[in-house]
Amino acid sequence: MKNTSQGNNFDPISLAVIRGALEQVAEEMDAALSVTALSPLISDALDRASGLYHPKTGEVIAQGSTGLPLFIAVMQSSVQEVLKVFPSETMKPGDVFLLNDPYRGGTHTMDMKFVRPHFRDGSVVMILANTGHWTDVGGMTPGGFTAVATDVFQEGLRIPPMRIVKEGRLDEELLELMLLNMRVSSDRYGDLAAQINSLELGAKHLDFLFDEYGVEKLYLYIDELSARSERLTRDRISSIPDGVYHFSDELDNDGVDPNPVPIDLKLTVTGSEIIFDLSGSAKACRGPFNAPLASTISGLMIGIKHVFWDIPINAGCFKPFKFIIPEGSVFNPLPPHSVSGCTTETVQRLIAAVMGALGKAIPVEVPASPFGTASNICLGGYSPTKGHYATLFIWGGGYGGHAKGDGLTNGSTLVSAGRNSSIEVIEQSIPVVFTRYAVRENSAGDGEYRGGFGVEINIKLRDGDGYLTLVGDRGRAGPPGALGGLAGASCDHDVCVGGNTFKLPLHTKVERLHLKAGDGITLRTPGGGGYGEPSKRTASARRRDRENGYVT
Amino acid sequence: VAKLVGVDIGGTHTDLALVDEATNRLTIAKVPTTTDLQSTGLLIGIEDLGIGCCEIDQLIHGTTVATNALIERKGASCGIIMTGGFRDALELRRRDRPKTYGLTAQFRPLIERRLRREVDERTSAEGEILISVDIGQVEAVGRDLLAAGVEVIVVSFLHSYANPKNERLAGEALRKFWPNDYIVLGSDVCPAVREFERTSTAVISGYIQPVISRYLSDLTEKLAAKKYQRDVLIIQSNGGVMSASVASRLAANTILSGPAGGVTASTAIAAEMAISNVVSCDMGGTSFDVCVIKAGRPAMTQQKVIDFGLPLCLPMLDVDALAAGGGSFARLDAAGILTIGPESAGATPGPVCYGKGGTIPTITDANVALGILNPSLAIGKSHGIVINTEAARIAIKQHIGDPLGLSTDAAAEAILKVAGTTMAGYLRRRLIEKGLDPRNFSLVAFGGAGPLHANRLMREVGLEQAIIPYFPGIASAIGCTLGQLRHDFVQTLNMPLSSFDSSIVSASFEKQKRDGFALMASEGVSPGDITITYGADMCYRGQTHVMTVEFEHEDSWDSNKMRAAFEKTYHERYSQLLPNVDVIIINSRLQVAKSDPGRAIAISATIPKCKVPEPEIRKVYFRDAWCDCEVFDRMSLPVSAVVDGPAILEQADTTTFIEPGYQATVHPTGNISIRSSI
Repeated sequence: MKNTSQGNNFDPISLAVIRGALEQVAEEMDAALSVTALSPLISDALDRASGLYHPKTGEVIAQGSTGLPLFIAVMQSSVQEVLKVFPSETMKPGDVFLLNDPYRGGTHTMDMKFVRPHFRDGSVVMILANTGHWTDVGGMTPGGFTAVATDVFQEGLRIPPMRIVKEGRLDEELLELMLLNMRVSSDRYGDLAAQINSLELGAKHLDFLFDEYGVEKLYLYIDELSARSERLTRDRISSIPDGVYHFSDELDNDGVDPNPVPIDLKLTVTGSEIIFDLSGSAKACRGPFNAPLASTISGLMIGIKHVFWDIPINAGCFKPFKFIIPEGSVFNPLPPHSVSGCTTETVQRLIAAVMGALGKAIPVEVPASPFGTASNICLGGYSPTKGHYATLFIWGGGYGGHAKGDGLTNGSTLVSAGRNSSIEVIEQSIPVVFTRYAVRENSAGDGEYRGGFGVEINIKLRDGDGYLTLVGDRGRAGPPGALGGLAGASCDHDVCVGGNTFKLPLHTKVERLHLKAGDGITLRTPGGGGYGEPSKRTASARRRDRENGYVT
Repeated sequence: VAKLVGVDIGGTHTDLALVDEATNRLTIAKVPTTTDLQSTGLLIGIEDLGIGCCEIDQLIHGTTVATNALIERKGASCGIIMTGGFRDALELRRRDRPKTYGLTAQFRPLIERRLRREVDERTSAEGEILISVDIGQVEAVGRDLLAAGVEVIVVSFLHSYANPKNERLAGEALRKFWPNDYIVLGSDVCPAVREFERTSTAVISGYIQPVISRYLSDLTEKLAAKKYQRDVLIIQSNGGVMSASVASRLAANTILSGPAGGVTASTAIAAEMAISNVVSCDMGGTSFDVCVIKAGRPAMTQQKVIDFGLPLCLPMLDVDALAAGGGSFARLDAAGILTIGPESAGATPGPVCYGKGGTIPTITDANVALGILNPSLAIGKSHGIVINTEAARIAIKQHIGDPLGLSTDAAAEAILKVAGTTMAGYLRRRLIEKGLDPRNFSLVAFGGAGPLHANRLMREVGLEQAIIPYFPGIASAIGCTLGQLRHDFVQTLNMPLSSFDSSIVSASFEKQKRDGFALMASEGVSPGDITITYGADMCYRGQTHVMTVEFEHEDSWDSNKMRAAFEKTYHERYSQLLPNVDVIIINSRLQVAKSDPGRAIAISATIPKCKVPEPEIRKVYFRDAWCDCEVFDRMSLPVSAVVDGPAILEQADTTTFIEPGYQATVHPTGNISIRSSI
């Protein structure tokens, strides 16, 4: 890319240095948060993000590279919501704000966002924010992911923008009210401390940067970085042939009504712009699979980033996109619709839809469809050996085959690059025993390059009473292949209760199934779609798959 | 007093340092690395030193044989036996992908699925045997794997850290018919919780064991043929040394053997100059290795990810590598912003100025273009290459200067600035993550490119001073001669302090102590010469990241004291304590070390006692202008010589640059200290 127009006024060295320094502040905040948090979702699954935002517009300036992708657009919306209630002139040094309302630039209630103004000479010059997924924030289902909630009130405590730390003093009364409404609340205090601490660490670092460049010069460069990011994004879009690319899919059901929930994306490329049109998708559903607007926009952007991964995240990268997402849609619901399945199911499938649509335009650069469901298992209850517990598992599956090779087996969900907890650590902390955690054979979509494999998991309760909730999808049809490749296997399970083995009526969803010792579930997650005609797969690749028992 | 030879084998060069303790003389040799068989180059190097093998009292060796075999996937054929239902643990990893964005990653585990088998057995998280291991199945599966051509067999069962009984029984059954000693048990290599990481560590160990073993026996034989009488010592990833015979068994402990010598050298240099806190920085052609040394002790880590899906959980020096070296490419990224690395020109084609076909400018090209590197000296000499300054300048103009609208000089300086910022940012983060203040730390900069950038780094990070070792180009080889016999042990306890049992803690430490003493005895160390360090990995209940805490020895371990020690360390690093949360002892740790008073670097005899010679003057471009720069032959500088920047100190394989406003002083140890002169 050329150094066009205004670019020549910028010292190229400072530009490189400032970009690196801004990213570093965000990454340090991410690192500190992971290390000190008590929720394994933050520490192991990296279900958290940190970033720097504009004090007036709330637009993102930089976000950490290991942050949860889902928060690409969500974080700036959250910061903007805080600014609506507390304009930066009303903020005081030492303030920290908190919110989790899905309907204020959010996701689901479990994602707690903390926002801290950064002061220089008495005024707010930047905003630091982070988000972390808390294991429980109350509501009808231990672990938060409910399969059947019909309104957001059933999904846990809902917090509007609130000043949780006032000029350096934590509001203990407010905190007590919050914690009283959450399960295993002692751990939540640790998460709160970790998030606030990480913001302080970021602030310390930011000061170095302001010392060196001063507010005015720094923003001159921030604006230039944003302009560069926009130009790069436009360059990438321009490489896609103009046209209207359509992709449709459907969720199995919404956990309440048995009917499928259509997803319909029309992606229009015109020159250097893309219009995402979701008007053909379902109206908001009764069950908890609605995606609040900010998480929908994040999903659309993640789809782009999974193909054009080198676009830096700042305000500029959003500019070439337009969104047609009607109010009242499953992708832009109005309160009080329930939303807890939005991140791991609805948004994941939306990301796959973006990639599916792009695949029709630039098939060489886009893999076949990935597994597309986190198949969350929430498990909570009381055990005579382990006490009260509430925990949550997110599972991986196969990625799609692509022009360079077979898909990855057991990849993370598309909204996250986080890891799962080790089986041994899970068995130490809650009363379960795993009898199987294995490659799900025959689950990959065939093709010249086959998909990656899903996993097969068997979990049994060891003692006490447990309540198991499954929030998954992709139970009706597997992830589609590309360029003649076949679909991967769909999600499947067997539930075993009181010696009887059976399948759940809604395929991939069940709410608080009561388990006793010896009861459990076998879950089989989807493999990725195949890429290219199966007839083109080499004989040696087929032999290797057979010898290794991947394909029987 | 003895004649010690330290050998550091790198990607391009094999460095040797002969330290004669009787005369305090240091002799060095630098020969090309013989990649196929590193021992060939090593022996050529010994000849270059001008010493017969029979005269050497001790050969100490840092090796990259294991690392290379692992990265290039050239290890032994391994099979694995795992708990029923879990043979895919290696392949499933912990459910991840290497990069946050992009879904086209691929992964191949070290052991193919057809060679991963299962047997019926199960142990609970509490260590209770739920299903005894089926020995008949173990034998059948083992024979089958043997028939399939497997050389190394690994046994890794769930929760074997809590109770290794089933693994041991399986191991014994295999030992009856397995044709070699390559039987690896997860609980022996890494008795710590987390099945994927433990299994990965055991498999890595098995995978490289025959490679290391063959390499060392070949080396030992060749040395014996030349009448070398003693045991060869191998540098371990934890910075200590072990005998070659032990190394064949504990092969995985050599994975970070390469960078360890440099860290040991930095530690010794800090000690001889009475500086307590330093950062060791080894900058070569492709990488920038950093290790923080606080109060004379290098930072340790318990886990490193060697490659995607390849974690290794053993006590190691906490050396972090950034892909930035003299050969790193300078390029404009997609957004038109100047970036350095991570790709580099390597040995071939090398920087543009080498004239071996390189076309993309590198950090070295920028140094040549600005007159900082002397084209007739420096790197060129040892490669037998004529440095082409003009070619470097043209490449910088084309690739960086013209597109950014900068003059060639300004573009070359921009490369050094951005490279400096990248490295400085990386270094500062290492300190800040550990809760350390850069102002309390000095830099020890070595490797071919370290001294060129040391001044810039110390300035940008805000470090107290920069130390340039006497022989920066072979500091790692010198470090090898300073290694101490040392072994680490770990055992998972998973004990909350709320239900603390002093006897379990004591029993764990006692067992580790017995194992340590036995190992040291096999290396000829008597119990009276052993120093023990007690420690534990601890965390707040719920956390997954542990912190290693050290304790004074107690006859009766006390939970309050352990909590206090944990909270002291935690507070230093993360400030905020969690007073109402239980603390868990995840693992007990114990280190045994031979208690010799760490050898000092004995080289003072070679420093001249003359006046500071008259410098040459060379034009160097710095801060937007060409200026006159004094150039000294470093080896001609006497003790206490003071050189004001801008100045250049040249020696055989390294160049030190001193910026305006800074001052270099030759310390009595021969090392040079650079400080601000303002």
